[in-house]
Amino acid sequence: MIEVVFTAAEARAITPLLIVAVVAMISLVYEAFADDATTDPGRAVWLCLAGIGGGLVASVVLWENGQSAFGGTFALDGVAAFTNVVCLLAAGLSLMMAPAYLARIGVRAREFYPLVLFAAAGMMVMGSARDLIVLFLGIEIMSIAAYVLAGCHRTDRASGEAALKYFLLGAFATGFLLYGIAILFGATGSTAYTAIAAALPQAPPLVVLGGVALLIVALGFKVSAVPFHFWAPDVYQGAPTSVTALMAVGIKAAAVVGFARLFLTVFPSLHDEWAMLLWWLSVLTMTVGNVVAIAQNNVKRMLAYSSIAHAGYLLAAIVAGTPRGGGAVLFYLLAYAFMNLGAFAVVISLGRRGEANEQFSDYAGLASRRPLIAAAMVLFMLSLTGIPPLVGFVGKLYLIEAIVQAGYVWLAVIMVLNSAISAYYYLRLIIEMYMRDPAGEAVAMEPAPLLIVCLLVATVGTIFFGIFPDAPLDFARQSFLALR
Amino acid sequence: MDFPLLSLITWSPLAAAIVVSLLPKEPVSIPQRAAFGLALIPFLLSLVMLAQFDGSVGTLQLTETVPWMPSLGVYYSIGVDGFSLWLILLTTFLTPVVILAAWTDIQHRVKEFMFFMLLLESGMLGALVATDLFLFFMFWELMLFPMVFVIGIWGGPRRRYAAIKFVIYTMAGSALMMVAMLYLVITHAKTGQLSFDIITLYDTNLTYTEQTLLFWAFAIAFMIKVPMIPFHTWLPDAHTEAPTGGSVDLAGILLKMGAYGFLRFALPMFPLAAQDAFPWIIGLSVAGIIYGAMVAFPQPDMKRLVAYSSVSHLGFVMLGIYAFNRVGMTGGVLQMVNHGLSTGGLFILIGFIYDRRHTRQISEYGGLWSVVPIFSSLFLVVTLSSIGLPGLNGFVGEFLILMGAYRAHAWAAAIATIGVILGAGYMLTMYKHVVFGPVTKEVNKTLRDLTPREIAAVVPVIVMIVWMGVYPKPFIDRIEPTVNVLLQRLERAGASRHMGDAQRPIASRDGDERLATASVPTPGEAP
Repeated sequence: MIEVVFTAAEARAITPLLIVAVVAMISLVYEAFADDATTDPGRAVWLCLAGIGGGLVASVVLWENGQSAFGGTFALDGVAAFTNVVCLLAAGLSLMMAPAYLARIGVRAREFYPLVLFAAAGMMVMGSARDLIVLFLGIEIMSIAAYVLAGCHRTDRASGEAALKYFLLGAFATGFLLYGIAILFGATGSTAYTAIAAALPQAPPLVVLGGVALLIVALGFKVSAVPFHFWAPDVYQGAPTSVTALMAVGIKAAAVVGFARLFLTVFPSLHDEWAMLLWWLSVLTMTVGNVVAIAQNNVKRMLAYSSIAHAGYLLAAIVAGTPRGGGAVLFYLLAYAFMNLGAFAVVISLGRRGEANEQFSDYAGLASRRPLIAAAMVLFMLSLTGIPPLVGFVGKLYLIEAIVQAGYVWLAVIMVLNSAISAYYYLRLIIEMYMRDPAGEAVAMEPAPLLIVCLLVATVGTIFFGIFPDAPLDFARQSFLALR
Repeated sequence: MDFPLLSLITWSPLAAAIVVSLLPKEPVSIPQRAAFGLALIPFLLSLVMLAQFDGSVGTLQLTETVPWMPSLGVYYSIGVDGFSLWLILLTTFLTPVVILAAWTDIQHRVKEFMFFMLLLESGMLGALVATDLFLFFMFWELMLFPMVFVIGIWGGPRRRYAAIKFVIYTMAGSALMMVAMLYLVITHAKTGQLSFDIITLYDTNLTYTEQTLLFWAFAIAFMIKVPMIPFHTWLPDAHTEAPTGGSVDLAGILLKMGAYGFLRFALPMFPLAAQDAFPWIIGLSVAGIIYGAMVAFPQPDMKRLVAYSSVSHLGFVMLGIYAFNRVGMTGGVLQMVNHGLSTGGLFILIGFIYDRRHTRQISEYGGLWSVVPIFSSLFLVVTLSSIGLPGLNGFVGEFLILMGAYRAHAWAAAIATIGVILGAGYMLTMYKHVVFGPVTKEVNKTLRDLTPREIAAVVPVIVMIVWMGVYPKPFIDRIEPTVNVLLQRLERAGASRHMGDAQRPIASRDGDERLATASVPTPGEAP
């Protein structure tokens, strides 16, 4: 039985989560009573952004290694703080992309902004979870918000399809997760990470492995690993773009951190077994993601497959099973947040009322129409490819370093060859923008101010952390070392 | 560290690129003149570097070291030695020439073109001065993308295809190099020192098998860039489709990065494996010499012909390096510069005639001597230089290479000599069809001869071609000490094997240290 004693240290541990969740509820109530005609929808955005800012500041100020609440099941250590920063960054930037975009596609769903906050709260729980039940709670808080968000464009059939698909397959994954938790509980007598790790040597090995396999399936679904990825392209393409950005970055980050923390702290003794399984999962994921991305003609769908490929890279570093690998994963998530959110912001900025402009051919000649946006997109694409001195390169370098250090040289070789394949489709977009003449007439598009801020943040992050990656990387490594 | 001269040379083109990007687009003469003026700055600075360079020393000079990413052991460390000295000068020399030559060739998006050319110059210079593997890799990738834009935006009809092919080939090679690089660094870190510094990494304890695998991972990346058979197929496409400026930089400097990579990284870091790879490298070099020449013969397109001649000429460079003696290797380094000048000159002149007729088909020309005598005479000098006529630069390099190769592998030198004859054959055939004979096409009768600007762009190249042909001593003198240092390293590694201990740690640069490390047994499998 877990003794729940509530101390000041525990209050600190849950403060960031509380801020985000409470602001989400306030904003939900506020929206419910606000008069649609007279209140400015911008107010909700600012309120929610303030909540995210508060959560960010609280995470950065209050974290401490080893600090946890609720009998050690909910941590606010370095790893959790880092995850909070990445997820809140994703949530914040997707919020900033949203207002003008939602107005353009005709979505008047006021609950959009609080739902993003709820999803963010779920992600924070996942990053902090040190108990399988807490992990489950986090996944559900996040996922239920995400199901609704994916379907918030009610008049659009693709959006509805995305929501339904995501929900049905997500429900399956939840089933796998609960089943896995139940089996592990049966084998070890606990759901807390420390207790499971302690009980593992006496537990029946086959039962434990069965539970671990079920957990891999469930988490593999959330990180969109092949062969559990079939929902991802349709959902990413169908969902409103600002929701896609949140899913591709935030949800993935939370799921990967949950994955890494679980496997690196609870199951290091079984590393040989699950590493083999994950090795194949990771190779399949990156290869299928990259190869299929080549054939795409829709930019959002291409980014969906690219995000599958990146999930493969991240899994590869988990295979390494070392704190160094964990640190590299955290850093890569930060890198991925900047470059991918930037790419989605560009996708949003090109749409117009009634036209999504998401095909590759819609990007033709963009460099002459909107040189700055095209230049920003080049940066994001090159960073996703892994070209120095951008953040994607350093991130990939750390991943590969951790993988090689753990002795998986062939995995590293497969990964870099994959990244050479990925150059093809990222480059294709650059070629469209710079090396083709515009197909239609040049139309002036004025991105909303918040979207410009969002693009600026992403651009600066992509360049700055590419040249000065030392501080966040060191932090990420130390955090994972402290977990042991 | 005193005055950061090398940093200034490396980064001034980047600063110039940023300045150019802030200038107004119209009229086009503003970015053109600004780019030309600003491109002279790195050239003048590199002349200062030449004056400060001590030709009697074979190790790195004018070094600068600043910590960059300490957690990864990455330093911003740069330096110059006999291998990179002339290539740096070639880069800073060719860039203003190319910008001047491109004034009429590039008519749209001029500002962007100048921006990418200057950015490219920074990337190339960085790759030449970097003495930290991470830094080198960064610049290695960085110089790829400006070139892709140059080919893809201002190139010929199949430019997008050529650009993608160029990227995929290079990326595939550098991907392997990245893993090898990390493997090397991590292996070296087992001694407790995490470092990307190449001089430090020279002393890594590697088993013979590790050395071989790592050598080939690096070598394939460099062989793609050289390019050597069978990795050469991107080159004709890239060369043919690129605009004049792109072709000159590609042939003049980018291709040299492959051979330079062998000299700076693959050979000194993996000396045993590198020497044992000689049958492959020499075989492929000789095959490239003959194959490039044979394929160049029937080409109807002048640029494509010169592109295949590059495959042949770069085969000579690799042959010289792999002779593993002073004469051959010095010749190889010198020939890199020679090829940059003569092929660069050829591309510039072909670009000028293309500006007038918008075709590069040899059959479209003929009898140009009577119409455009200045063009024809300059074209003759550059053609003869490319063939290797005594008194011009190409002869010196080829002669040294063949002499060195003959001492090492007489059969290879014998076959390569056929390549020289073939080279004279296809170049003179092209020259004959373009310049001599009657004027067959009516449009050619009214061709304008070169303008003063165009002459100003080519004459410096011609001056260098003659100077290096008549008096190559100052050039050779500054290359040789560095060649000696590398050869000593290779010899020591070879000698340690003859003592029956192939797994012994690879010798350091310093003889005394070597004795100290040599006694440490290395675990690992036998060769």
